Amino acid sequence: MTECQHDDRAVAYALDAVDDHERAESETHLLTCPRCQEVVEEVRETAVLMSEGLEIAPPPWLRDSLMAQVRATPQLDATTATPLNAPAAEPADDAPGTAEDNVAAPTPLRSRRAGGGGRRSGWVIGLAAAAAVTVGAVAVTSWWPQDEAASVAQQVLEAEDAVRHTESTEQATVVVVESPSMRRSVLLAEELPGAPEGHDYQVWFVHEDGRRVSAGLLPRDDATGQEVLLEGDPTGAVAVGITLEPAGGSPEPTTELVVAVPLEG
Amino acid sequence: MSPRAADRAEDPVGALLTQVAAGDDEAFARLYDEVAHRVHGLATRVVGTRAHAEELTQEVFLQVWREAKSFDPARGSGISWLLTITHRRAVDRVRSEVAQSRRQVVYEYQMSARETDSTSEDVVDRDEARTVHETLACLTPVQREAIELAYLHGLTYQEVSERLEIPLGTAKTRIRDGMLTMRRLMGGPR
Repeated sequence: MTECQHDDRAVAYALDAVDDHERAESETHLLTCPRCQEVVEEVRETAVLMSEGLEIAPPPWLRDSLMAQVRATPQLDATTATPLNAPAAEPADDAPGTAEDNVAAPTPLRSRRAGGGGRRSGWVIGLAAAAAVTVGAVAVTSWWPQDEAASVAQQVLEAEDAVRHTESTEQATVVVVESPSMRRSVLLAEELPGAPEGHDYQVWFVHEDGRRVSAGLLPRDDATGQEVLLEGDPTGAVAVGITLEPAGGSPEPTTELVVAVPLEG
Repeated sequence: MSPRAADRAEDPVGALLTQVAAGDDEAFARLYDEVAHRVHGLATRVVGTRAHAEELTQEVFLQVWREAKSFDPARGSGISWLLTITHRRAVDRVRSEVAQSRRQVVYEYQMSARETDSTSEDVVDRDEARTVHETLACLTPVQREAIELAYLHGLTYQEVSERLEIPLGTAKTRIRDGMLTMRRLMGGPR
């Protein structure tokens, strides 16, 4: 923990004492800086000390509830799991068992419009840009290959516990498919008019306490008829909303919801 | 390069995580019995209420089950990995709008504790706080204060400097020096 101009940033990152913007910056830096990765690892090991003496046994029902959920919850492949150990400097694909456990061969999402798949690349880039302003999301998308996002979306749609929520307005029909076990969700907007010049549709997880957490932008000029993997964890959200925002998205909604899809009841 | 955590003799939690990664739900149960009180303790301390902490603890263990394959023993111990997940989720929760008011309470608690060091009606249990103080007793009071605001109350460096009315650089230095001291005390030179 000496000698590097980025050290303080790495220490702050390891303690989660960074805002979302700084977190995203740190994660980018860590991809190429083994020194700072080591700092992060050391600080995290040291931080273990700070929770000693705080131990509290959770209530017994919590264990029962978890064990029941776990039996119904599929595990993620290493490459799709959140790299919480800090981003790997080298691919971990030589790990035993990875090959057979791999997610199904990457398949482009079905598009209900001919040629729609060709724009996915721009959508993923848009998501990476949006990640910088996302509140509380784990920045995974920024280095996810596009096919993997598509593949994860497919897994969500086919998950055993996938739940489908639909809301129709005069403007659009929006379907949200959520997999609680995967903690991911997929959105499909039908008949949504194209976003005006200089604007993007932005998706939000709306929480009971009024918090709205960005779930990324809809693909520009192809916002309709396409299954889109939402960014972030839908757990705890009571609705998924869409607003029209200035191009590139906003940290918080600046306009009324175009549509809100309730996730409960 | 200092030796990695994985080079240290034993990591029973890491070993369990490796079994969990292979889909072993009995190993998951053993892992839970081994570390749930650590996870729940940290979650409770950071988010401040039992109900939120219970929800968080569940979320953490579900994430552990789903993502156990991303645990890499070469990059740290099992308990460090688990508590990293716990802490990040707890901090994200604390930073929600609802938590704003609680943080104000915690801040006032901090301030009043500095003045009187006596009773407090804060959500943070005083026994817990005292135990932490024992663990962190090796630090200077200003280091400890800065680290607690950052790690246990979920503030950013910027917020720590604002709350303590000190320059950002001073906050960074206090936290870094405090962490270095703790690291030395943890296991001596590694």
